[in-house]
Amino acid sequence: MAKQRIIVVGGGLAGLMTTIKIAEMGVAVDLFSIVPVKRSHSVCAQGGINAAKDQQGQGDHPDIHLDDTIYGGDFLANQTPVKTMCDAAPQIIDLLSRMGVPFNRTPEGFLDFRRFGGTLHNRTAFAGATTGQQLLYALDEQVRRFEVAGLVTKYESWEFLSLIRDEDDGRVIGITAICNPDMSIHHFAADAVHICTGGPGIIFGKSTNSYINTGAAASRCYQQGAAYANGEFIQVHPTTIPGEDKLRLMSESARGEGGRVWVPKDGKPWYFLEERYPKYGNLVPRDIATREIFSVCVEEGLGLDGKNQVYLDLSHLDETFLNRRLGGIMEIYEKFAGDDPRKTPMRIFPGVHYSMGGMWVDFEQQTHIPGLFAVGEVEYQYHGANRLGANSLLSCIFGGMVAGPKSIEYINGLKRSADDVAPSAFAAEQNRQIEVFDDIYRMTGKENPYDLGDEMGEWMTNNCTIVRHNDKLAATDEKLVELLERWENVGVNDASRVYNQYVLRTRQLKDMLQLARVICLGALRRDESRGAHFKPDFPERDDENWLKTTMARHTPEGPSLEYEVVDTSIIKPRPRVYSKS
Amino acid sequence: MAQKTVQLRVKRQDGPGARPRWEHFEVPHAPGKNVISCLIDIARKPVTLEGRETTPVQWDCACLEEVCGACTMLVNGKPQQSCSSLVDNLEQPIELAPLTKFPVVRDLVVDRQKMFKNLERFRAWVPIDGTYPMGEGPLLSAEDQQVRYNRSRCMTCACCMEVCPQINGRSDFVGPAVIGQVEFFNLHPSGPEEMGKRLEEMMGTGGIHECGNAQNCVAACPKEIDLTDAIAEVGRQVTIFAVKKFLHSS
Amino acid sequence: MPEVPYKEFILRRLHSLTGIVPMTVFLAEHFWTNSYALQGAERFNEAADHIRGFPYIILIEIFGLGLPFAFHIAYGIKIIYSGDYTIYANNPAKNWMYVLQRVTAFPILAFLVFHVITIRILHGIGDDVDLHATMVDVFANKFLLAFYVVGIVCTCFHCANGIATAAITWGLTVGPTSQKVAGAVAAGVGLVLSGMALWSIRGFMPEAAPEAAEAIEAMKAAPETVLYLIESLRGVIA
Repeated sequence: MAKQRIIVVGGGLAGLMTTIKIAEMGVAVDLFSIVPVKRSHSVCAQGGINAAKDQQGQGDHPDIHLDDTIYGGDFLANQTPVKTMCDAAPQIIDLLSRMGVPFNRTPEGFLDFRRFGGTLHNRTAFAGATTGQQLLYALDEQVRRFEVAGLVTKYESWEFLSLIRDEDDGRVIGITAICNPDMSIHHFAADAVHICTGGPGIIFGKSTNSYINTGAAASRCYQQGAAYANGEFIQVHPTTIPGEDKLRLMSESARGEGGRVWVPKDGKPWYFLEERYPKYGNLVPRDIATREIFSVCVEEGLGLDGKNQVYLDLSHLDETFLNRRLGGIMEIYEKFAGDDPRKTPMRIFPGVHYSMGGMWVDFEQQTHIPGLFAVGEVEYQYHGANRLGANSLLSCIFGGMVAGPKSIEYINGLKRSADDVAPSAFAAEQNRQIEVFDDIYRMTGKENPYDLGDEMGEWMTNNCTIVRHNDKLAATDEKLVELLERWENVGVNDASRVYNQYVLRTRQLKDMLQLARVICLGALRRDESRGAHFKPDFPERDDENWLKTTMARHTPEGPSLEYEVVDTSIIKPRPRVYSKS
Repeated sequence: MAQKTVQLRVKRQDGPGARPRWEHFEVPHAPGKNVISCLIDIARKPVTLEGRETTPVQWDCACLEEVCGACTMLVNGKPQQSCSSLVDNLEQPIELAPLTKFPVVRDLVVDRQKMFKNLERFRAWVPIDGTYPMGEGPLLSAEDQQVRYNRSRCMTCACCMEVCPQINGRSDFVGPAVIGQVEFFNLHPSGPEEMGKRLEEMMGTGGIHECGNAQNCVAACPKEIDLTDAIAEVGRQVTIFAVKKFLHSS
Repeated sequence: MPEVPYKEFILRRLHSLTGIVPMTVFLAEHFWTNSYALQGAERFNEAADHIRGFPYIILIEIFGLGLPFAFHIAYGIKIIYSGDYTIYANNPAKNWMYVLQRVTAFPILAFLVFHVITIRILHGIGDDVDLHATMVDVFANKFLLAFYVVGIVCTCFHCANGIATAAITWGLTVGPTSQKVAGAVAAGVGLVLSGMALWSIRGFMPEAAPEAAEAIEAMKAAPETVLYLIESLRGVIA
């Protein structure tokens, strides 16, 4: 067999961990990233990473971590991979610590842990309030080591465009990608491809996601045959800072360190989460905190100054303590909102944050397309109907640790390498993509992708987030179809073949619209309430009919939905009631 | 005072080596608006203040909350992240220009790869044996963690490079950012061998000796990294290393 | 010729070293000797003769002073060429120090060449030398006096700032506090040196009143220059 190569698309935590695992086993990796990898969205993760190391005498255990995760996810996650992840978590923390991540320390010099939502244990290791950034840098450094050793080739400022599949057996044999600085389109051969491109938050217009989190790569794979699972499960984070261009995350760790949520009621602070959830207090899972804040503002009309805002209060805590443990997020609040959260309560409101759903993968992180793997937020596997805080970094890294070696196992079992395929197959797909872009360059309509994107975002945010109604979801899907039609009428006013974001955004928008339909129709179909998916008309969880995974497949007419049984082999589903338990 | 519009002057350049020009724009104002929102507004309707149709301005951005470092540009002459540059804090017309110490790709987009190459050159990593379970990492005092954390927040944004008078076409100084990283990794208890390699490289072309002590870097760093501390500390390490190396050399 | 490893590093550190030893050390000695003038022409000439009478004086002057000076100057020109001279608005004080350190090099060089040629070479060689008289003649010219004042002040600033930055370069002062303290100490050294040098000029004033008055008039530039020096150094202290 010819020289083996594996492609990793995406340079966030998931992509980097996958790359490290593959390179460590001696196989060459081509790593594609739309931005220099150090600028990936993982930098935005703030609060920490979970691992039941039980270093504080609370009797924590990976099994409790598993139960918290499954229960927090309202039993929609397949339990076997979640268990493996929770079991591996302590070793992952050790590895990161060995890599030099500057985790906060106890006075003796051990790792410190704090509490996060949906658990009663201090399980979250953290590096100030920029944990994601610190983990990303640590993995980036290890990848750089392999780069110097010649095992990794980075393609930064390159955007993934499409998969190249073998005509005979449909397996992945490569990708096409566009080089942003000169807008040239190229093909690359590989025996396995990992998609690690993160979530689709920009579909909702304003979210806590980075500007690059369009979900376009996942959508492109979906349109080429990969199934997209549980798309309707979108996490709305309870505490974000409203902004003009994005909603900036105010980490759950703020509450983990003692921050309190309140609104004034009858002239006094009303700590409504603490009152309604005496045991978990401000640290109920995110879906619940979000719905409570939403109802206090929208239904009870108690938002600050009549706006959809509540207080998140840290001002009662010691300044040095805050600076050491939450410095990063307080800086963000100071810079963008202009007030000092050490002195005045922050004003926050829920905002779209994370997609529990994503590309369907098996327990080995492989999609339905042979040789196509998916890792990180882009896949659906670990969080069920609602993700617990500080589990996302864990799932990215763990997923990479599974996917890397499994993809090598996969290519070792192949009879034919991608190099054995006739070059014409690669050239054909490359030409098809060149054609797609030439068509975009020729568009002369009146619409522009930014306004269309805003419209999509508004409809999706209004109708497809915290509270969902079937009539509105149906109308939203109609709107998405309309936007897809109007997309054909976009006008491209920039013929430049140098770093043309307008053209790239136009292309991404169409893929975002396709994926938005998956999210919207999945929500429309699922007549129950589970985790982040809440329908007032169907307020209960319905295990009999809906304890199953949504799987969307692309057809020319739109998404076709199938359902798959959920693996509940370890923990029997039970009612999810945080107010008592 | 809320203004109804925001005026911007943007330095445009169609591609590498192309001749730069200035264009004047006006976009709607909104409370809390940042420079990036203005650039998105321009992309929506790329028409100059004089009413002439033009192409959308190109810029880099990702996180929009000043942790990724992508959107650094000169805002009214100062290098800073355009996401955290709120228009209400800026004098108008807001002048946007690309960083001057890096090759321009297009408009406000520059190529900062040389900073990542520096990280390669100076072995900015902890040389772990492998990713397999090998037990816990080394203990670290809370105080040392605070120093390491401060250095580790470097997002390779290039503000320090832009204001450093020693970085220009006549000097090959590697710049403050990577020296901070060298100190960061030298602080890790992972063995003196790597530290020696980093220090040796620091004595090479464009190394720490090119620093001119203007101390602009520390004033420009948006993450308040103690870059001058790092430079002096690495200077000290290099001094000791060089003397020892000389005394032991055969 | 084989490539010298770490050439630039070694040259740059040598440049820093030659600035401190011998240059600053020599300067202190020189100004101390000048101060004998305050005790009269005879005492000064004695002191100067004593030094000129050192054994191996030519060797000391050539290899201990001349060559290091020449190197410091030559490599300094390279450093000056490789710098940028725009001031970063967020850090004006220290950025100005960076610029002044380089800018002062030019008047220093001009002064140094003039001073060495006119005093040491043209009037300072031989057995029958009255350096005090020579200096009195020099200072009788108010332009030359002003030139000396500027030269001295620039040299002292360059030395003081050089001491402060060398402490950083060699890694003696790592944190802001130690750098501030070192900056203050260096400023003190600069003030003492320049004070000593400027004050000792009084010892070279001619007896005749009119010229003295004229010379003292010209010296008014000195306090202003010194004040400027203090102002500049406050940046280091601040």
